[in-house]
Amino acid sequence: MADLPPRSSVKRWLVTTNHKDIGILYLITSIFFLVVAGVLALLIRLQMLESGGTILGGAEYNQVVTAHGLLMVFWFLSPFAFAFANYLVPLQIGAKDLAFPRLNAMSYWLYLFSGLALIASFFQGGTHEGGWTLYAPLNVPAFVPRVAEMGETTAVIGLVLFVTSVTLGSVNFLTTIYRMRAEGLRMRDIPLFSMSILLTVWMMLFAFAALLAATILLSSDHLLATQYFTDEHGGSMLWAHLFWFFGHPEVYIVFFPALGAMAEIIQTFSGRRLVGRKWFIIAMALVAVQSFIVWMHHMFLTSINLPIKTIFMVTTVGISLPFDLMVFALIYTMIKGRIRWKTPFLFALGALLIFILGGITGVFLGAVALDYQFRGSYWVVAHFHYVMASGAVALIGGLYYWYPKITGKMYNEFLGKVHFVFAFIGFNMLYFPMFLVWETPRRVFEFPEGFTLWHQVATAGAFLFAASFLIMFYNLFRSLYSDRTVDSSPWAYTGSAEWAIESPPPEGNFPGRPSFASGKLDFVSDPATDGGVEDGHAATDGGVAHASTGHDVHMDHASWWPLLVSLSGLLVAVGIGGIPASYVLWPFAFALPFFVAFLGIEGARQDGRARIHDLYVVLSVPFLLALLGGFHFHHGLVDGFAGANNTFYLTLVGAVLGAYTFAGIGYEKFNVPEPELTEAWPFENVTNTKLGMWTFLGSDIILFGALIGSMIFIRFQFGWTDWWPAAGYTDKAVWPGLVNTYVLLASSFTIVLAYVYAKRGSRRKTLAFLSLTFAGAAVFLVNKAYEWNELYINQGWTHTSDIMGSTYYLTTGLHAAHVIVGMLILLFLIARAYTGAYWSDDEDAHTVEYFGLYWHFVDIVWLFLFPLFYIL
Amino acid sequence: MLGSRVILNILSGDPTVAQVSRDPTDVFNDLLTAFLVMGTIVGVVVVAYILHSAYKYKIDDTPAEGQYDIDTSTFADEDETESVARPQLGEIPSGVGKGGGKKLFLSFAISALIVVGLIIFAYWNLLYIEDTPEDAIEIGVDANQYDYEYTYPSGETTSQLFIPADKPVELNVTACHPGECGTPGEGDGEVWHTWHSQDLSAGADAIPGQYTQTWVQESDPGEYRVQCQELCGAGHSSMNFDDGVVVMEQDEFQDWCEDEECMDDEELDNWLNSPAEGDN
Ligand code: HEM
Ligand SMILES: [Cu+2]
Ligand SMILES: [Cu+2]
Repeated sequence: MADLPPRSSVKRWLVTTNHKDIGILYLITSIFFLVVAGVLALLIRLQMLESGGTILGGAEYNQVVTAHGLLMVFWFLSPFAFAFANYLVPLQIGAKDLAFPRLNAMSYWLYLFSGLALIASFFQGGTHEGGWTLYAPLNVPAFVPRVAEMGETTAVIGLVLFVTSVTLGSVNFLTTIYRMRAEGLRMRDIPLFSMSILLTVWMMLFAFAALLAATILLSSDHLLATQYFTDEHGGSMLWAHLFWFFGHPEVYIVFFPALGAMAEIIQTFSGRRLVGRKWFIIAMALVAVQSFIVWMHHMFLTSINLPIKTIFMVTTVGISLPFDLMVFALIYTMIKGRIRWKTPFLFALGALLIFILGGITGVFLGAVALDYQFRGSYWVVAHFHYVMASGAVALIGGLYYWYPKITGKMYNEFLGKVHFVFAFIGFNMLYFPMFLVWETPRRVFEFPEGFTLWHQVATAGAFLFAASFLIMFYNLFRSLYSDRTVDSSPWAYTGSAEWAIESPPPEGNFPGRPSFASGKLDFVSDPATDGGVEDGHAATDGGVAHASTGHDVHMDHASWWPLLVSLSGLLVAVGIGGIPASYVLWPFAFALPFFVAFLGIEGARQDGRARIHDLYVVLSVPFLLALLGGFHFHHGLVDGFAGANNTFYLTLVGAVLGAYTFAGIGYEKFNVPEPELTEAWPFENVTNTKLGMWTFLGSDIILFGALIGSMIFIRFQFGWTDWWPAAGYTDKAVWPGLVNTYVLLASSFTIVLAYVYAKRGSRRKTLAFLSLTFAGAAVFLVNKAYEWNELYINQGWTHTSDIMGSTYYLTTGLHAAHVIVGMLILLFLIARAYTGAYWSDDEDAHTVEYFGLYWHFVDIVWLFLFPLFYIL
Repeated sequence: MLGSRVILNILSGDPTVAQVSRDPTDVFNDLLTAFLVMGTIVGVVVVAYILHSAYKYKIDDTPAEGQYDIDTSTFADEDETESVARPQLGEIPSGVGKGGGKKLFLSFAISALIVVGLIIFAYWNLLYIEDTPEDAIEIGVDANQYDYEYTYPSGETTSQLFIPADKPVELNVTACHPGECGTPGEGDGEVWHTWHSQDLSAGADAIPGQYTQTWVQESDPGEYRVQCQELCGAGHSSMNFDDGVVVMEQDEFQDWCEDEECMDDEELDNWLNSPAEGDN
């Protein structure tokens, strides 16, 4: 499938991979989640009308508070920003699309389905009840009422899906922004909104990896009954560290895009270029880096010691200073401006004002002695709503600003202003009183009598604020059908490239190849020639502009697979929470032979049937039988399947669908030619895929770093030397780990040889070394299974025995999962190599190289795990 | 060891009297006042300046014929003479916008000074708060779902915190099941709470398996509110106690303590009769 149906067809929206379509999907979906989370917010405020509550019980209230926070932060604010990012970043930097359009579609569907999973969790006995910070140990099943066990787990798994979506998105945007800028557009010159997105995705890449680690551990506590967060030696603190290491960058992640939008809007409507643009960008970059070293300011009240508190107080105050500079830059941009008080400007201005209040009150929190009292109070609630909602308000400004670009129609200016007035008044009525009655603990509905009046004012403000959005919905919806059409730029003093093309932009974005080679934007209409390349040289950062064959290659735009892959994720997410621990892994085990069979079937369909495909199909049968044997041994074949509940089968269907769709997406011929003549500094010499792989591995490093760090943290809390003796080991066998180390290292070597021979065009040797790598991995797993069997079955030391068991099995297990994924990919590579891929085409050979990067990474991780779990 | 209290006394220029029985509430109130005053000043100045600028440079935004925004060509003359960089469609933005830089850094420097000054002041007070007075006695606070239990030096437990006026009390806070506190595995089965008394300006996290400390001191006898400020389950909302702390006159406390055997008599005597720290 290749070409897109028209926009009026439903199918278009299911198969599209076009960045503008995806942007619109993100926009609508995020607004949907805004409405859901907003209704929850109104419930909270109704409950707060008087002390003791009027409509909800304690557990329900906690669910509402939790879901409100999760939905607003994860499923509304960031994705709302990424709606604009999807739509605008390629336009602003002069790219036709993102680097990996199919992956982008997958990010979207995973995002939508993860949110639906969270909503579904309400109907599975109740969603999570521990607040959006999910503090431990309240977040583990032991503290969850039995009825809500499944829903709580579903909420966590939903979060895991969401993190996956975000990680894919970060990889995509980083690759795009680094490698696909129009000729002559240096990194430092990209428009401010794109710049803010760049820094946002950098933070996302690392911060969300930490959240992934945290949620994987939490899922494991839920599904497999490991004991990370119930561990009394430091489980609670471990969660707090992991969560806030993610959580603080996250607050900037949600705010940065808004900052970028604010800068662009204020620039346009002041008719003045941002003052101190360079410093503004440097300040943003500084904040992005520094955001990773302030997390413990959320933990001033815990048992961390004074020197550490002091350090984090300093970094926290330090991080408020770059914000200072940015705020002043925005203010001075207005000086000598030609300011038009249009709706987007009003929203940006309003956002700036409330951000200042939020920032000032944040400094209060940074003063440790004050935070001792503020922590957990409405002061924090008021502070972060001022800053975060400032972000939301700025993005609403962005919505009005770019609405004409996206729709080709102008909104109604009067209604826009009315919306602003109500929103601004409502907002302040809602949150300012919270500063006054800050002694109310957050997340409660009982408070001293004297606070009632202010809480009621807040509730009134909430309804006003919410109502103002009805005006916006009406305005934006009606305007779609108005005759107020706009040409390329309805606004005066716009600068960036999206305003240079018609509204809405055409399918291919630009009327020619965008280029800044002349010092300003041109659309070059001729196919790239050698002359163009030379022009490119003149304007780069010392980088080389890329040239390749001139003719326009066919590009694919439509695929069902992203939707289907994500759908399998949804099925698993809503099912897995209901499966007893002893059954949890089986659906995924059963999916493996199906994957092998599908590799054969899909391979035959796409590449032409060959013996290897038959072999896969045939081999999948004994593989499945072997697994059934294992299942029989574990649960009894008949009893096991009869005793499994519905959610088991739902998950099984999801896992098998996943196996099918991964095979499908792997074989699909989806052509996304690398763009020609782009500015790719500093990554001119790698391909998009390689850069994507690197960034992905970057996030994987954080994931394993966090897992290893967790083990070390708990072991320190426990007493380093008491660790193994407490598990009953004075003397652990080192040799299985040692053997595995050699095996893995050898397989790293064989994969390199596979790449070398693929480049040389040797079919036989390519296949041989790919197979050898597979064999190495298999030996690793067999050895591991032997070792685990000894420990788990014979010695009875399981992942639930003690915290040592939990960390040991989970960390090495996750590594083993990486090995298994590698083997599955190898099977795919072998099948493709068999039918002529990689070795017959020089370009194609790189696929083996990219896989090699992953494989080396898996090996390197082992080099850390081995000493940690076998020697020390 | 040179305790921070000593440093504070020296810094304040009067090594003996200045810091005598400064309750945590006084410290907190001083700090909050300072921050509120400075915060309000900065906030008002900046917000006023923004509104002023946004208004001052507002132009007539009547759209040009058939357009939604002004016609920039009407400003062509002005553009010739002034030095302000206006965005142009399709431009490469960097390196062109000059001006405003000096002012930017000046205002940045001023605001940075204010923030840093405030924080140093706050830090100074933090050292005071962190330094529990030597003559404080320690009382254990064990939080559970959804109550607190206080353990006096004798091992006697109560459900309210009774303390004498004007005497510092150190609270050693954790979370555990009642009856299992202080034993191995004590944190099992409990969740994260906090112990907060806004009235007494004191608070600490109550974390299973961890101990955190804070101290209180209050001169006015009476009842003070205690509340939990960390979501801890379905009953979190009602985990607050208007009479969670009872501050008594010292002799009243003495009677109470002797009745309840809250601590060793001699120890009690010594404590209540010791001069306030720094008084000598
Ligand atoms: C001027 C710079 C800022 C400073 C000094 C600051 C400081 C702090 C501190 C110390 C806390 C912890 C309070 C506590 O729980 O006891 C906090 C909480 C928070 N801040 Fe800020 N902040 C700043 C800006 C921001 C920004 C820009 C955002 C996001 C847009 C933000 C979002 C949050 C959130 C969401 C929380 C609460 C998290 C929770 O407990 O649920 N802050 N801030
Ligand atoms: Cu933070
Ligand atoms: Cu609580």
